[in-house]
Amino acid sequence: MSEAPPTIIVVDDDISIRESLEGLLRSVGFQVRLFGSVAEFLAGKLPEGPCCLILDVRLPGQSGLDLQTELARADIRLPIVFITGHGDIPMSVRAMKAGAVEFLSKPFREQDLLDSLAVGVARDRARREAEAAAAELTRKFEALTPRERQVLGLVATGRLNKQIAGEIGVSEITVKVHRGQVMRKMGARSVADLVRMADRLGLAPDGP
Amino acid sequence: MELDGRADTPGDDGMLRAAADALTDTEAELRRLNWALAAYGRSSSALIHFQTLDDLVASICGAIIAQEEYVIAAVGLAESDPGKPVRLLAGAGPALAYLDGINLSWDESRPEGNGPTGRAVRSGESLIIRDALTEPLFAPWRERARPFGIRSSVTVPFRRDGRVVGVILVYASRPHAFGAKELELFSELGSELAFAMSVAEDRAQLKAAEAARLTAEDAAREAQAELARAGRLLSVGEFASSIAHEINQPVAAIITNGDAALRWLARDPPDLDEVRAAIERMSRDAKRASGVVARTRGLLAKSRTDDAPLDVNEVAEEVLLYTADERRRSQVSVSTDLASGLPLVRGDRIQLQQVMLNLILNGMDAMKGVNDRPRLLQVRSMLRAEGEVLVEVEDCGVGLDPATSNRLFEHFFTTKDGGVGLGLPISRSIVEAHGGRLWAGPASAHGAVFRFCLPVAAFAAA
Repeated sequence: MSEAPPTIIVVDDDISIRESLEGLLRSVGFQVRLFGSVAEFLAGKLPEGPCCLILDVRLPGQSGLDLQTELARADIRLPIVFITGHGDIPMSVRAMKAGAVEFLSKPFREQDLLDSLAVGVARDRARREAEAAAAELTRKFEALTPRERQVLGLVATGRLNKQIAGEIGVSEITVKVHRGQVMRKMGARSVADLVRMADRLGLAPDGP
Repeated sequence: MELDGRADTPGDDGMLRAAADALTDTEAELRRLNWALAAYGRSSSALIHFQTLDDLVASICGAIIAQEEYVIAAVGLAESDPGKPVRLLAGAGPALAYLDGINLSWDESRPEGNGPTGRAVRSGESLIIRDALTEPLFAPWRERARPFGIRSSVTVPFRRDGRVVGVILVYASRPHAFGAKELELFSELGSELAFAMSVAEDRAQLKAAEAARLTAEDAAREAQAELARAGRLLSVGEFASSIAHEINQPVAAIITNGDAALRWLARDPPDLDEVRAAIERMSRDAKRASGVVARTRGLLAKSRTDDAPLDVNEVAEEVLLYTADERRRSQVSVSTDLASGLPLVRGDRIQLQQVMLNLILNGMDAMKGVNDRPRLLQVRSMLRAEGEVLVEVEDCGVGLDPATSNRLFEHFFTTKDGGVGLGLPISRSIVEAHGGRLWAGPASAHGAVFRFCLPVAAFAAA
């Protein structure tokens, strides 16, 4: 699975800062998108691959902290590295509490910035992977027949084949066939694997 | 009805004549009553609408002389000045010139105080001269009155709070012109006049109160302006912080561009186009930073618009006043030794206040951690022989670090948490722009002394 290179989104009203960041970030292999204001950023589309946001705390109009709040409310979980030209200690506390990756004062050490971006990108990649896996699992589950879903649910609650057969009124052999189908369709390597999947899908552990 | 009855009696000439005479008398009486009513009415209306007491008196007098036989109506006030003069407020009538330069008094010991006016004031009773030609009391004025055709007069006193304060004088062209009815009317007018006088006084007091209120408002406004000025002073820190931010942005960009250029160079092969672009950005941003510095300098130079003679002691005292609250909070006491009779210096008051404020706040900051001795700030001013006024601000705080004291006046050098490092360099620029010097040294026991001197105005102007 080939992944798009990570993108760093820069929102800062100062063109010198924006352009210098673009130069630095491209030199280390990031894709870069520059925005002069929160409004410009919100008007654009989010990139495909993993990304991280570099956000100036004080911006004309909507501030960086406002954007952080707004993104959280819209459930857009972009990692954010804040940068500031002022010694905004109370703001940094607020930003970090709200889940920012890092809070850097300008001028910052290049390594500090790159390290926090690496953390941010890794966090975003992990989130994307988890989301993709969850989507895949749901897709597989939806491919099961109603009977197979029923069997999966009962397996997940730890019932034996014999018990399941008795419960749904079929032979133990039939249960074994359904179960094999479920394992194959879900791509589970073991019963334990299957139970974990059922768990992630939110199938109740104590069953129907 | 009675008159009609008499007139109806026929065949008796005597009776008819008597009836006709009575009718004439009655007509005269009616006319007089009419006049009295009119006079009273006009006066009342004047009473309600009067703007000044003089106008009111003039219109009352005018109402009185509407009766043809009255040749003068005037109002005088009994004053308590030496000689107890009766000062004429206003008058009206064809013979008014009679009163020009006349001496009226209510002083018993003076001959002019024993005429009708003086007696009326003293006794509080109206006094009638029935016939000016024969009345002994009027003798001193008889010859003076003759050319004006004055034949009788009345002087009616009026009171305020029980005390006689003035008189209404009325002169007539025929003897026996004043009866009980007229006296009654004049007394009435007199008491109205007294009432009007107290109204006028109330109004004057109201006006004075209003003026006092306006003065107080002005003072409040001034105090507010003063406060705003103090606010402007205190915002020097904000000004410095905003300049710091303006310079910090391009500097941060330059650092990042430098980092980027190095990375492009380190590539194999190096990406020289990217390196060039980064260096071009660095050059642009460096120019931007130096532009900020130049603009700041320009701002400081330009803002010295005021060039007035001023007293450094006043400047010091004003700033001490502004910082009184802050000192209380920081438990800093102040001792001043400001030389009296210092010659004036020339300059911009606000800017010199900024310097003073900066030195005082620095001194207070330096004493923040002092707990084993009183936090005392000393402010002194003195005249130096070279035609300079010297100001010293001494604290007993941490003192100057010998390792860094030579950097005190460098831009962005600070030893304070959260300090920007612009206060002292800006202060020094201001003092130097005023032809003076600013320097620092250790205090005798603890702490530091900051001194600045400014040329005396006479020298500065030369």
